[in-house]
Amino acid sequence: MGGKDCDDLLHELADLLHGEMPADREAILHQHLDDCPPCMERADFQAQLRALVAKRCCEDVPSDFKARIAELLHGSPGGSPSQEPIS
Amino acid sequence: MADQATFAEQAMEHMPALYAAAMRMTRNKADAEDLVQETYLRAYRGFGGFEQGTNLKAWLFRILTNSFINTYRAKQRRPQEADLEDVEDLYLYHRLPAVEQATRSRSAEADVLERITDTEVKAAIEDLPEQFRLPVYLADVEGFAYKEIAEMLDIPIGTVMSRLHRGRKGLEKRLHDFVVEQHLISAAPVAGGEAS
Repeated sequence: MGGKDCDDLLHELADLLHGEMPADREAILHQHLDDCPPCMERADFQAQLRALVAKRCCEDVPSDFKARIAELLHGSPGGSPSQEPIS
Repeated sequence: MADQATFAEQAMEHMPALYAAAMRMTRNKADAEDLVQETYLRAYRGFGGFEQGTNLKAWLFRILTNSFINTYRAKQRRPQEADLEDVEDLYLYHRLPAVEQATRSRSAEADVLERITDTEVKAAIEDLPEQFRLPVYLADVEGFAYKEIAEMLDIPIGTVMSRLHRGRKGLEKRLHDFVVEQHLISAAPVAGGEAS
């Protein structure tokens, strides 16, 4: 890896991928990616890694728990959820 | 003002996201269920103050995060400022695959990533100290903007960014450890990387 532009990109890459860079800075970093295949490859990898982390974090909500909450929110005719103790 | 029948309908859609976040925060099913239930009850009571048309999911996550910090963290009595070893940027990438650069290929990298399991990613997140874990989860799993995370955690945006910077690297290091344990790559550092 070479040069200050590459170092800057590596440091700012996560924020760039999250869409958190100011427009002018984003344009500069994108220009560097277009000009620097190794950095583009790094950026691709980090984007894949981010997608993987998000994808691997799902949970199945236990159906009895889901039903309990739905009942809590819908179930009481007085318009106020029942105040049963949290079990 | 929003009515509460509308609330039940709209809020239930966010159950899977809230429950998954609660699992990562509390690290166990019983506490996660309690936390989500508490979140829904607080949200139900406060729904009159929710402005329709604004982001309901972010509003619910703010309640979830507050409930976690105020209730569960208080009872855990863990040291809150546990530190996280600082490692270099792109920790995982620099070690993948541990073969010559010439044979490095996108498909080999994608293959290694694909073989990282749900359990490993979840464990890697749960291993992060809380002050890093919450921002990393909220940003990289839920995709909230840094500004939203700053509001949820009631910390300055600069603090969110510095914790994310360090937390994300910590996550990569843990994922790297799993990948090595699975023998997907060897532990040998590649050129330019530091020994782990």
